[in-house]
Amino acid sequence: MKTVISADPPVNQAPPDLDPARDLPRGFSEFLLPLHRAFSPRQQELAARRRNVLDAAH
Amino acid sequence: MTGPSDDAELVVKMLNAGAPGVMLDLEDSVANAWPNITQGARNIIAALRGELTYQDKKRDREVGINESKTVILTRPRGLHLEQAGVFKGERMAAALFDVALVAYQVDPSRLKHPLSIYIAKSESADEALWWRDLFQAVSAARGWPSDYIKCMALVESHPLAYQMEEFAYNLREHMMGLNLGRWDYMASLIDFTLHDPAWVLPDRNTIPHDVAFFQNLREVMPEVCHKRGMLAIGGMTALYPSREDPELNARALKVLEQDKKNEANSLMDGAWTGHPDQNEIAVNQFPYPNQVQARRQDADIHKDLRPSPQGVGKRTLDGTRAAVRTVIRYRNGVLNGKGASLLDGYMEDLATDRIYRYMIAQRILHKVSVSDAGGRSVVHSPEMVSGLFDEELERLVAQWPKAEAGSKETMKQARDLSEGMVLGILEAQGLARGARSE
Repeated sequence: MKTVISADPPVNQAPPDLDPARDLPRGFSEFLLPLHRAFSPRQQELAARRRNVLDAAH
Repeated sequence: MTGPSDDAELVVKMLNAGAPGVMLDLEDSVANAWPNITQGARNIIAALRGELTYQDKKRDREVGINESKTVILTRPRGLHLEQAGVFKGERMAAALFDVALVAYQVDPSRLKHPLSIYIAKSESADEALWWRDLFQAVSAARGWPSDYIKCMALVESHPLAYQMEEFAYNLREHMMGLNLGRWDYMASLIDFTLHDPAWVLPDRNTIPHDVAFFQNLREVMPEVCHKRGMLAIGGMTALYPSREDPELNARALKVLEQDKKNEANSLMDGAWTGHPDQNEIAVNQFPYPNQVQARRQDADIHKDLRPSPQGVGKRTLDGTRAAVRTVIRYRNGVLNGKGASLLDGYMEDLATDRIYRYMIAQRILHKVSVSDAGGRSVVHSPEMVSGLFDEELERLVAQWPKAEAGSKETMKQARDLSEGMVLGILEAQGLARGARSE
């Protein structure tokens, strides 16, 4: 039986022991967090919309 | 010019090659892994400051970036990708992470090259509003003018081809121009027509650069752009020149010249290159510095963007075999940290890999019949294609290509992953079961 691999793109995973305060530029986490709260949900909505558009084409 | 940002030597060489613009990539030509993305961001920041160097081992010297007015564009990952693990248990938009990581660490007063973003993988005009709001939120947080971040956008999906003007309008305070993608655009066309037997494409390298589904879009884009004072930029010629192979070199430069001349005649203002030996020929085909004032009297922005490809090129078993071989080798490169590889004269990255996987899936789905070397008819089926994967793996292992990365084990892993991804395309369409032969 062949393994079927999802056509969804792979997710880049930061190292499990990543400490943003230690491993990223100083203050970057505080800069990034509000942007993440505002923009990641919108990105997920847009990605879902893409799937709907493609589904509608078939 | 464009190339992967995680290779400092390549970045310095691109910036010293005399190209008017250089795009530093965090996406398709970079392996999407944490060390590569973070290294790429560090290189981009150093390049924007004019401080990036590499050690030239042959000459035992450090080489830096020459002073120039080259425009640097940073390509963050597209909206289809997510970055996990920066905040525990959460996923964020990878594009946000990339833009924020670079923007946070640059001070415009110290930059030799202003911060500009190259937006890839867009699929609708609404997505431009995400980018606009991100640029303005980042600028507000950094204390920059709201329109400080400029951008160029790549049109490489079929739906966006119908919304180019709306996309540009939504980013009007930031937009410098649009760029016509080539390989991902073709993959997107297949994605949207996978069910249609009329859209089974010929072997990739038998598709002429002026095939109607590109040429029509190539003529619409400059009209949309020039009407709004924006640049229209053409694609990259994938066949690369070679300093070791005179025949290949001459053929590649001839193809390049024809391709760029056609883009210039279509009123494009320039095009991307990926090899320094392409630059002079490419630049010479376009009016200097651009032809943004040029408009066609008979311009039609409602051309058919899905003209049938029937009668174009050839569908051959060798073409399928070449596609199988390339996806195995490309994925072997990725498993060894390389997001782009020069394979059999062509620069292959995620976009070209994607086309090949879609082409293979499309041929299985429609049970395409081709002739083998002995003239016998062969029908594409999952089993037949699986056999091709086995044969090409065997051939690669027996005749290991020069400068190929990795080992037999990574090549085998690459073979299995590649076939699995082809089956994944069929399954995502709900078609895998029907595609399998009984």
